[in-house]
Amino acid sequence: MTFEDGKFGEFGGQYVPEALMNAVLELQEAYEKYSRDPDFLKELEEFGRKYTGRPSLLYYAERMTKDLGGAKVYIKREDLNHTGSHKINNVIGQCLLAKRMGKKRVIAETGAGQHGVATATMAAYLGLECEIFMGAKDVERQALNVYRMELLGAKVHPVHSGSAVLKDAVNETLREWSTRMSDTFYVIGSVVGPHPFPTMVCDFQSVIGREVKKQMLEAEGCLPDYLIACVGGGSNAMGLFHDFVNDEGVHLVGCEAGGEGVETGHHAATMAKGSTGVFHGMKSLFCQDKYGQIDEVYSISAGLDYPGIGPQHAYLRAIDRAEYVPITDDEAVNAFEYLSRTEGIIPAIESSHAVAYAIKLAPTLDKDKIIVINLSGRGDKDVAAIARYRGVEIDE
Amino acid sequence: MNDSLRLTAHIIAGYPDLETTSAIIRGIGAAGADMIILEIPFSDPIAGGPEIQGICSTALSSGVTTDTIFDMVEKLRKDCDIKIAMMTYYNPIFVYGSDRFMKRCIDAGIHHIIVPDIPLEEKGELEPICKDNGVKMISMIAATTRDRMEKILDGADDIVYIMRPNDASGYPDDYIQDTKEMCRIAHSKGLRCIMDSGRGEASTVLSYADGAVDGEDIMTIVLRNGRDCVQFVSDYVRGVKGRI
Repeated sequence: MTFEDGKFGEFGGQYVPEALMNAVLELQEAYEKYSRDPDFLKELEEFGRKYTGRPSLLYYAERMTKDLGGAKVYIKREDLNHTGSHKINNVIGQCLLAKRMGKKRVIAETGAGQHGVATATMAAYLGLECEIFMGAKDVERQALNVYRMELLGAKVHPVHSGSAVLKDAVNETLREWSTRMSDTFYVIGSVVGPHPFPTMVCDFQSVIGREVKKQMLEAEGCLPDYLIACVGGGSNAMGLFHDFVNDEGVHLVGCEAGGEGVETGHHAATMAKGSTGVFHGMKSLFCQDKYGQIDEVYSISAGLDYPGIGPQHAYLRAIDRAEYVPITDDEAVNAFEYLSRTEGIIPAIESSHAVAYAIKLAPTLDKDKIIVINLSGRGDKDVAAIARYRGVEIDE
Repeated sequence: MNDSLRLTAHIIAGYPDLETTSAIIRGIGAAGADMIILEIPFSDPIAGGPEIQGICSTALSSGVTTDTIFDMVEKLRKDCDIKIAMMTYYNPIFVYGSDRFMKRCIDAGIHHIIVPDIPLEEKGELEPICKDNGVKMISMIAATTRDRMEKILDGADDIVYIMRPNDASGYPDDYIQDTKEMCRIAHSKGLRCIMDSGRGEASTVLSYADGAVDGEDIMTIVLRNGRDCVQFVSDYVRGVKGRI
């Protein structure tokens, strides 16, 4: 699924103000050059191996498989990466690109803080100045990650405009980029934004699916039947799906944030409830009203709390290649607890949405079927919030 | 209708309410402005600062919509013929239906639109619909446009809008030089140029551009005076008009 012009069917594109166009085109040109440069690709691969800890495990969840009594369940352990999530795969790529482009400063948006922490980490390693934009509400909810970013040398700017969450952090980072682009690189956190961001982020994350394919062939001698990943913007899901798009026997399932239920109005279920629109530089699907005003969305998971989805996902659904299902907060929290108790793995609340769907799906399938769940991040950051959800007050 | 572009006032529709917006438009027209850029409030105006976002949220939460704005302009047209350019991010046009949107523009006597998040590269999907309906898209040029300027001017229709750099309160000297050159080239292609101005810059930009756009100062007056702003805005516009 490589589209040089950044259009995926009707989706994608470069819908940004003129003030940003030169920065976007400069990035596009640089990415086209370095994505074919063997030295750049070698450095990227080495960082993955020596710094992130790639390849990540493809773990056979034997207890979960037995308990659910149907398909075999495998878990791709992106939670074991350095910094605790898949976000680092993309950040390494973009920061190495920033260096090659001669940029001295990186800026990024963050929701739960995972992408911000990953960006601050790489900036610290490479000696880049780093500023992170984070919704004021998220700054409050994720105090630990804010401190973590500061510890790594980043400056964190709370964003008070709009609803003070992830979408507003993206707005503010785009604004910041348009005022200072000569020395600044915008490290975007998902497969969203104007071309080349969705393609580039997908490329950097596609290491996940490449490894799964190889590991699965080694372990089982065949391809999996289902790939399941959570989707906010959709970077871990695209990373998993990308190498399997042409393998038609492999079902691709994205799990989006159903919040309190897609009929309640409190959700971030773009696929279930969104419609086509143009926002944050791309044409894709968005939660919006009939006048094209973007909705405020809700999810227990700050990482899925985004009113849109990447254009590749919109396209995969339009051509019926992937399926997207909403998972409620309740189902995700139950899955969070289930995986902790069954396998001794505490998943991120984002990834718990994928686990929740696997719990529903596996018992309905024959024992010779194989499911792979992408465990995009670890759940340490969510423990206090889940405790609160269960009525237990603990200090972080 | 007056075809001069010398003084353009930029306001956001629906702040503090549509009735006041309507009165501001009449007042500005009577005070001698040649054109009004009427911005449809958007939930996420990324090309503007947090202050504009605040104004947009207030307008939207009071129930202002694309429809109520068009209704207001249609009503106003009975006795006010000031040239209006409708400014909006692309999503409100796209979701409303581009063709339906342009038809409503024409019905409301609006013949120009400004869409900040449609750069040259994406113009192809909207421009034909504008042309079919007799609406002209105003092309935008930024301080960062540089070598894309010629291409933008080649694709432009009638009016080009030269924006002030986002991070500066005024025009840096080197950009002023660039804008002079831009205006010269634009004129050679039969185009007219309007430029952001304010804080006394109008006379300077009018020495080589066809029009000055005042947004910030007017917005400050509206923010400061709320529903009582009409007289203040009119007096301000009259003052600027007198100086140029």
